[in-house]
Amino acid sequence: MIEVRQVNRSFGAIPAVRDLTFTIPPGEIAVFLGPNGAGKSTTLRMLIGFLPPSSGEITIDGAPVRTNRAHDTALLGYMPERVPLYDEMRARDYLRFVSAMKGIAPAERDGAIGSVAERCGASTVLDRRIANLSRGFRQRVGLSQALLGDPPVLVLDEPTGGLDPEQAVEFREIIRSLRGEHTVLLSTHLLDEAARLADRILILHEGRLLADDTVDNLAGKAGGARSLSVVTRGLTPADLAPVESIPGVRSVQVDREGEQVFFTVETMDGTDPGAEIARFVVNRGGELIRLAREAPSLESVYLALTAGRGRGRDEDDSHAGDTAH
Amino acid sequence: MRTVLGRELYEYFRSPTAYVVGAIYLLLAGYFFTTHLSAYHLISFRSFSSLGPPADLRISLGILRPFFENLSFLGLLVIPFLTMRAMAEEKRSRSVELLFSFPVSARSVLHGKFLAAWIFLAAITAPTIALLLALGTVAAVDPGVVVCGYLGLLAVGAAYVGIGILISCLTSSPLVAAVATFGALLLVWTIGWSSAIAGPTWGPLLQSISFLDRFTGLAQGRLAWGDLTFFFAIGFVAIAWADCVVHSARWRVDR
Repeated sequence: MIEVRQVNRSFGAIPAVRDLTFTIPPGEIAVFLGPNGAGKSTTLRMLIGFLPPSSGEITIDGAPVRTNRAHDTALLGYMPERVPLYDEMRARDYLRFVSAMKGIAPAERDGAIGSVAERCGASTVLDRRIANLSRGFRQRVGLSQALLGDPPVLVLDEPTGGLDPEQAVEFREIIRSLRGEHTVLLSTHLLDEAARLADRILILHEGRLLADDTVDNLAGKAGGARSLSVVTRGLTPADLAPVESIPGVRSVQVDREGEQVFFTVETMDGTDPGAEIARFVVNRGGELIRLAREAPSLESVYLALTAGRGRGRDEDDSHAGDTAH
Repeated sequence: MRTVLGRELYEYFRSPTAYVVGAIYLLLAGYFFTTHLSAYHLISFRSFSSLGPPADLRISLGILRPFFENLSFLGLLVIPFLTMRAMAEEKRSRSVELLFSFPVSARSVLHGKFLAAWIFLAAITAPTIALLLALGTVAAVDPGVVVCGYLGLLAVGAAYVGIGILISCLTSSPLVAAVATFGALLLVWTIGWSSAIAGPTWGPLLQSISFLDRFTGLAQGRLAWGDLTFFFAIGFVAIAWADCVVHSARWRVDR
């Protein structure tokens, strides 16, 4: 479990993270979303103990995170963005080095390495030099090192960055398989990835936590309306004008292509005027080809939450050490 | 610390750069040894054949002292290449974040890196013993002078490596670290040369911190514990300073 309480971090006079408070229960996958300079990387660096907070407290499984953890056990596995590994080493030797750094007993190291490499799909490259590995395999070795020692918490910074679509899908599958066994906090700026992986999403903007909830609940909090997508035949756009007066309908957008008329109905919170709309179309003599309910996309939720707040503080990145994405 | 030491040694002993540096170090050491041996041979020949003035023909002064002084000078050239990557490369590649996410202290990381560079320096210096063994077959070489010289080399090497690692912590560019280390080592090596013009107050002080002045006695077999302690203390202080640098919040932000 990760607990972050009232954490602030400034770089000189520039606040990078402000009054950050959240808890990630055991076994959940939480995703940090935010534009460049939002404070994601700064927060992750504080979580792994690389950067001390200016104020506030961070604990992992109840143990406070410190910058000098000489006597701590390996509570945390970290996979930085673009996974900086030691290129001159063979993957197996590198993982042996990490095993030793994490305090795994010598007799157990090879077994642990085999197990994590198998899980991450890196078994076939264990005896190759890291410098010769493809990006996808580097990421797999990077995740393997994070998993060594079976830490209860995993922090993954842009884990699929730079992977091709096929590799990204496979990698997401591996991360999804960690649900329940590890508490995972990952950062991404890919909304689609966040929606696919996250049990919950934390949206950071200008160092503040704007939202911390599931995708569905975020839609409600942000006022993101659900919509109905309707396709009809045999009616004109003018015939559909009264749809706006059906209870629960907030707005209607109509489009026409040949004989078919498409319209998108934005509905009010907690209402579902689908049945009335279907009845209206049929009563008017039209043919109802399709009526589908569409949840708001994470993109619309994200944009609604960050609307009018600017693009973050790119200029802070040099201070905060956030990398450009 | 042992884990970091092992990884660093792995890197040194598998790195072509380290081997190139080691080979050049040994080649130059052999060249300087041969030159001094030839010069000694010429001087002794002239002295015995009354072609020149009588000379002090002690091997410890004519061959061993310049041999050890040259080795310690060669250290100025090779140490920057051995220590430049120590922390600068970790910062540049951002692997330092991963390194410090493990349950280890920065101090043990620095100690591991220090020991690895020092051991590698000792390893590339060790083959030079063969030169002295060869000399021993044709001349009476005082083993005490040899032991003292190598002890001095180990001590001054500790100081060099400490300074190199400290400077490597101050930048994220290995090249800058190498150039700055060479400059710093050259300064501490030759700083005693300024003692004559530094006046009665600063002159003795500069002489007392001059690596060359302190090493000369060790190179000719004068075992001075104060000099050995001085060099090891410089290495220790440099690593302690590096530890402070690495712990500073600013170091963890600037990159």
